[in-house]
Amino acid sequence: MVEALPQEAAAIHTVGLTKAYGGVRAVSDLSMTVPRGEIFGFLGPNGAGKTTSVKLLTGLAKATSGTAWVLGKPAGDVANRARIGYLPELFRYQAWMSALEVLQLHCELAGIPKAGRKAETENALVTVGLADRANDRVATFSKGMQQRLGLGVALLGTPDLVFLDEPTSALDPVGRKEVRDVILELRGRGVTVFLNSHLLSEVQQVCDRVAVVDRGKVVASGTMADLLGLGEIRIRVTELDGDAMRAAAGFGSANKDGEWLTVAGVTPERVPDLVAELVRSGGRIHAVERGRKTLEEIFIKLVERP
Amino acid sequence: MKKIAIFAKLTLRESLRKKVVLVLLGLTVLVIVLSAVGMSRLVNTGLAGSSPGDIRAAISFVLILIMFAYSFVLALSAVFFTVPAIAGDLETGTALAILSRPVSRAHLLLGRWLGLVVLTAAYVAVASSAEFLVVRVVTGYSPPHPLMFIFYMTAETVVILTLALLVSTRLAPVAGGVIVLGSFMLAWMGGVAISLGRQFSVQALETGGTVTRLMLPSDGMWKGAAYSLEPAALLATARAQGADGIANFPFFSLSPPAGSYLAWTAGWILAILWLAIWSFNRREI
Ligand SMILES: Nc1ncnc2c1ncn2[C@@H]1O[C@H](COP(=O)(O)OP(=O)(O)OP(=O)(O)O)[C@@H](O)[C@H]1O
Ligand SMILES: [Mg+2]
Repeated sequence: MVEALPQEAAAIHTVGLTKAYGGVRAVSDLSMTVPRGEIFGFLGPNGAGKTTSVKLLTGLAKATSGTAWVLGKPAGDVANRARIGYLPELFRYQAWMSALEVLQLHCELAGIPKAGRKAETENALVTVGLADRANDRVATFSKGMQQRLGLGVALLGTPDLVFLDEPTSALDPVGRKEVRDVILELRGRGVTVFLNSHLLSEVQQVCDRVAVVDRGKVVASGTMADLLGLGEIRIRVTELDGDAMRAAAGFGSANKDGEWLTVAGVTPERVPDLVAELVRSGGRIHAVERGRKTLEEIFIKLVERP
Repeated sequence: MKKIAIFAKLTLRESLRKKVVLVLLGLTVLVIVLSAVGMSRLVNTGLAGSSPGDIRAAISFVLILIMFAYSFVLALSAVFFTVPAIAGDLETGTALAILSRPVSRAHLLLGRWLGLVVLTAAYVAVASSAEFLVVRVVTGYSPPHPLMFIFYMTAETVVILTLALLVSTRLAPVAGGVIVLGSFMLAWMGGVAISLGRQFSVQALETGGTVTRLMLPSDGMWKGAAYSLEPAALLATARAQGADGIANFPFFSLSPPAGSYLAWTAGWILAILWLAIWSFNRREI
């Protein structure tokens, strides 16, 4: 069997993708692969290049150099866009239209056949909780309601890939939970979701895979488990001598604080070996626990400016 | 073509829902009513006792003046409606959502243009027909070429709105509006310059005016509109008066635009549209 090329198999595959606005490199040499059917979290501080990356992938901006494939086609392929949903970050829909009219317009633009449009729009309105405001003008909507409408628009036409650029930034806690459920349901249907978000607890809850970008470059990426696994092991140990400390250092960067020894960067499989090594060198172990790092702590460490 | 039609329809619906449409329609009705009142006064008191030929000439001349003022209002409205067309979509971010669909930027731009052209043509046709009808009822006078007038008046407005659309791909609405209206005034002054140049035999004025007329053919189209309102008697008078007479008024024309100038104008509109697409395609959004 011939293995499919990554650009064909993956939902998104980029090689050396770069975008410069004048002197500012918004995205710099971005290479990454997003497998199909996963929820992909794209994280980074303000101005890191997340929105720009999404614009490159949806064909709204042209790359300065590098290439990107989306659903097996070069990014920006016009016909391919019928299979992609996109919720932009900062936007307002036509204020003079009603929510229903906005959805109808996007059905038409997406090339959804006339017969299917009623079901599509009704479905979207129910999913995002705007069914009772369908005929109100967008001008009268609150920020969160606009964002809900944007999500509804992104879901039209059963896309294979959905880009959500900070979909919950204006939502109340209930709305956030609802959006999480929508995202998980999308995954259930095999849809790939590309999620830009600053709400790391949210990302931690839903994403299968994440990449962290800073100043246009990827600084960490992998499955959520990988990334959280970068955490530390904390061991309460007594009668530890210098030899044992050196032994521990062989597993990762070790630090002693009173009776607690922390070793950073130990993969889960090596924890028993680490403990055995400490016991062999005379240490008495009282407790072993995985340092419970959150995505937020890891993120801050990654992008912290010294 | 289907995708262009989507945006043309959208533009029509959007324009018709603007409150300013009501204002514009109200103003149009007001102007028509006022012109009816004015004309009837003119015929029944001012010109009472004059020969039918003089009355006809006077009415036709007043009608040209009214339509000349109306062409300014029309240009102003066209700029007002067009300048936010692309700039507004970009400003609100609506363009992001729309352009991530299987459509191109050229579709959006051409659709907006088409919608505005249809709107202009419809409005010019209805408003001028109403004015002509009222004048006819009140005075019995009909201009010689009403359809030709509608054509040239629409063409003049399309010239302006095409330029406004180009500007809209780069500039914010207010700045764009000022630039386009400024250009419109310059083109009109170019027309005046040609008249003055002829009258006082100043070659430089004539040349300058001709250059502006080529660069922005709006005033050139107005000359066609004016010509289509001039009855044979008025033309004859103008010719008889020679270079110092009404033929030199900026709202008067002794001949319709030449075929070559019409072709130039059509080419100009296409070129500006092409430039607008080019500019929009290169714009970061
Ligand atoms: N149209 C543009 N013209 C010039 N510079 C731009 C443009 N768009 C983005 N940039 C620059 O590119 C960089 C990345 O911006 P981007 O919007 O992609 O950041 P982001 O990661 O989405 O940030 P945030 O978390 O604030 O949404 C920033 O330095 C920004 O100033
Ligand atoms: Mg952003």
